[in-house]
Amino acid sequence: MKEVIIIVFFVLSSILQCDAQHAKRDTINEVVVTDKKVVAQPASSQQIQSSISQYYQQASLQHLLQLHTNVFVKNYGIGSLSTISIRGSSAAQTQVLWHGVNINNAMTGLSDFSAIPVSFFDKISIDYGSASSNPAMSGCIQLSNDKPSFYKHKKIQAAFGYENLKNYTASIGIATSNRLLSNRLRVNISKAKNEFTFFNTDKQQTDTLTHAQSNQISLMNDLSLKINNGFILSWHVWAQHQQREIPPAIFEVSSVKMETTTAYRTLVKLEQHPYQSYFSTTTLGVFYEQYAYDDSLIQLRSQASVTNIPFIEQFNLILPRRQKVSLQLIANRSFLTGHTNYSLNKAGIIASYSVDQLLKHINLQTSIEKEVTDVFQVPLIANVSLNWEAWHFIKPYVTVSSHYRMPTLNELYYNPGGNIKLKPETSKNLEGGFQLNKKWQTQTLHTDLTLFNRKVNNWIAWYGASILTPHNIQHVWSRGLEFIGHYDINLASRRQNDYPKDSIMMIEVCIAKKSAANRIEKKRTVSCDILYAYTLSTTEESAIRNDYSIGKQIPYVPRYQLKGNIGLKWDQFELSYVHTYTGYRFITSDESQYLKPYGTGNAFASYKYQINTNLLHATLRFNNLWNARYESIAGRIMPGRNISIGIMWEMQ
Amino acid sequence: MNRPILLLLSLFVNLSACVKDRPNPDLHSLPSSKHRGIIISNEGSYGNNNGELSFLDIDSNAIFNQLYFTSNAKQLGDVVQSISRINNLYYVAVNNSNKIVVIDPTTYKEITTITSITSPRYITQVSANKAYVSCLYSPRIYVLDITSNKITSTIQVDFPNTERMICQNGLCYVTNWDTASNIIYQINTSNDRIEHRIPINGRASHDIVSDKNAMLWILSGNKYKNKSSYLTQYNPLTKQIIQTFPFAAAHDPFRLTINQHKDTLYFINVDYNGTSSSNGLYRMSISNMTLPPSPFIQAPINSYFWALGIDSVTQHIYLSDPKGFTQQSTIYEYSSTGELMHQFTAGIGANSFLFNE
Repeated sequence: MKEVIIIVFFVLSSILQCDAQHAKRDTINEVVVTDKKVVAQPASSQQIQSSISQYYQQASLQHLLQLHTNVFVKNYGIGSLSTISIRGSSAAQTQVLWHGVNINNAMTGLSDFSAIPVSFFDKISIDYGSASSNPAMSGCIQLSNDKPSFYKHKKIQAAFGYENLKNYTASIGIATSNRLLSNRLRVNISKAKNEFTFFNTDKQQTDTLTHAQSNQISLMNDLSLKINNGFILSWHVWAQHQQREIPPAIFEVSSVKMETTTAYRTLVKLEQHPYQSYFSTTTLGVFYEQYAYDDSLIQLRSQASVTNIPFIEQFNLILPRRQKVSLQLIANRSFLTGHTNYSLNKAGIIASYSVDQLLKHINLQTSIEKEVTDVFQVPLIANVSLNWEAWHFIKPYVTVSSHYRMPTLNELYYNPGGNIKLKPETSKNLEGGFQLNKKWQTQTLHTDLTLFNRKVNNWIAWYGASILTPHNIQHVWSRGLEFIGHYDINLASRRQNDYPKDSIMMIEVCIAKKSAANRIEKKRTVSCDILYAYTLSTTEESAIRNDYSIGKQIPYVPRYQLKGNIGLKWDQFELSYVHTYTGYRFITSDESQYLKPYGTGNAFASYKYQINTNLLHATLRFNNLWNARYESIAGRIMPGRNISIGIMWEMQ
Repeated sequence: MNRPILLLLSLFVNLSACVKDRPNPDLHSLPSSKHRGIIISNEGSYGNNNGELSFLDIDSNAIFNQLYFTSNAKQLGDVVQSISRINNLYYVAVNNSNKIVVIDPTTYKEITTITSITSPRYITQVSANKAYVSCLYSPRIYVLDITSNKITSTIQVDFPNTERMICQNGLCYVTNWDTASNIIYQINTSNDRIEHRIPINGRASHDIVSDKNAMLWILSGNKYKNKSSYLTQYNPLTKQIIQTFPFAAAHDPFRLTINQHKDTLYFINVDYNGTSSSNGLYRMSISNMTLPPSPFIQAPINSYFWALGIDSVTQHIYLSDPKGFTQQSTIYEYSSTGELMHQFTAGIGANSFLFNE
């Protein structure tokens, strides 16, 4: 029981930290008890705390992931495309889930993290491993918002950000709700010049980055209707338009390349909870994305658009003895707009079962999935996770799973070069680790150590010269170790967040404030975080004669990443410093060319001030404090020391 | 309580640093300038600024990579398209860096860089002090003064993407690798004027050689833009097309090359999927009345050939396999009968061989 309480404490404290801006509540209007049982995740996962995300309210998700997670962010230059790699994966092997639905572009299989505003999401979490909640072959990023609250409430938030690279951001958020309806609108506008000077090692001169301007407008609206106590209908809209210039690489004289992306994503979700032991969710989405590229220097103009229609129906049954059975029916249609014969349709079924006390102290989660497509055959996949509550504060876990990744529409149909004969990539995964959670009177320690091993067959690699064609040519073996550690000490003597010892359920608390109570959390803590990732991701077999990549690291996967964060919170002040180290990254698959390691230092400060019902929140970020010169991608220099400031005003 | 923590820590320490991160330092040296050999241009992978030069020492069967970086301590540039020897200097066209780098052939030191040029492709000497430079994307040929290494003028052509050139009898014949173009240009090198537009069968001409009878052989086509390939024999004296050989629609031939005796044509048929039986090196006599039905040297499965050179002394055939431009190339040396003799590792995307005879 004691260990459950500790976990409850962690979950609750992280939830409350997530809501630090609204902390210290005086009136609880509504309590929503969710279905989640508090058990340790049988795979490595990380939730971004609001004490971190507060510094990125005027920034894109790539900046946050780069400094505060074990995800490797591959940045094609400032303001340009930004993709991720988790545990030595390719970007397409990861997924971004928005309200549980994959939003990776069906054409490219990628998400651009430079275009995802952090301020749009209340919860950002990373599943590194093969948990049954993670549908990706490698990890996934989950983006979601707090559950809607149905009481009379109004909140307005406005924010402005400036970066001394001549970048500006403005955003506004309006949340209103009553007993039946809840609506939350967020608009974000950014205009970035991304101008900075740097020493060009190729030309041996000081240069100023030009043609790097980016303009983006994003809108998100979440409307929820409470039909009755057991039924909630919600409609989520996320629209985005971005136009950006692609700056010249350090070896190029100039660039006139431009790209324009437009995305409309909408989801309709019906949540039914008619009985205590049964609930279901129906989700239907329509995602439309358009991409245009223009290089007037070489008279190259191209445009493509893709539509993706996902449908998910999930039935959940809670059985006695803490058992849960879920059945998920999924269907998806994606097609290149204007070329409906260039499409990929799939349907499938996922059955999952979990039990919290299979044997004494052992929790089991298992799932099995079968999909069919109209293009190729996909294998049956399965997942089994065991989580052992071995000691009071150490919880070992192990997961065995198989996965696959379907080729994208580009990989199948791109003209010229697409390969309709491609097979899905398949993987077999094994991972295990320990979670250590320990709490003393004023101190908290949380660590998560994971060892992982994944073998991918039919790895798809683009191959060719002027015409690139994807092939299933490689077998890749990824293995390594991840460590996430957090320690904090409460400088105030009294314990906060002390919850009843018999709490066994994870509770999400949605609170209204009817009076102008103190909205600034009075807390004094020193905290420390360490993130470490050691990843070997090597080609084991290849269908190419004399392939020099055998036994060599996959390009742009660092073997070593280390990030350390130390922070101080003193009532309304917060200070922190993050140092990162990224090891060698190879440009070529035979390790013949590489980028050197780099380290960056980044400092953060935050101050909150309250006047009646208004909250003023100012943040300051010193990026690349030690002016390190580094490239994320060869030839694409990243900015040196720069400063970002943000001011947010919130009124209830 | 402490035992699990110790276990955890020891596991962490043991497993956290198994492989040395720092790559082994590359030790490169320069070859002897007295040896006979081949300068190899390695175009690199597009957008990575990693084009380079290699030297294959035929006397000692040794290969020397990264010549430019070793000698100049900087990158040569992005997409090294071609290398030409003019007035005892190497002229290297670096396509995506928009420059021509002039290099000393003994020390590989850069002598000068010509930058006022857009996407150079090939450089051909047309007179004692003049060379023509073909280029991508713009409808022109640059006229380069090779004494001052400056662009002195341009010749406007009808379509962008001028490509390979050949000079004979004071005339330069220029191919035009644009799918709208079904001509090659005959330019008078004394006044840099287009004298004649020679219509050919097919579009997008890209390779041209001259045989022992001074006949021109022109290879044209662009499979991926639905322009079928043709091999055309043209008599420049009578200005008549003698014959045209159409290729199958699935074929994508390029790198038309002729041997030292100028009686045998070679070309590569490339299949980027690396699976078809028509993927490899083809050979045909200039007196053949049909195209060869099968490759003289079949490319390895899942590979294709990218560079082609014939040694005028040994008649050995050199071919490169660029391995998708994601790693170093393999250079294959075959005997004149097609027997594999040696193989070497060159830079990324080896695309041409220049013999230093």
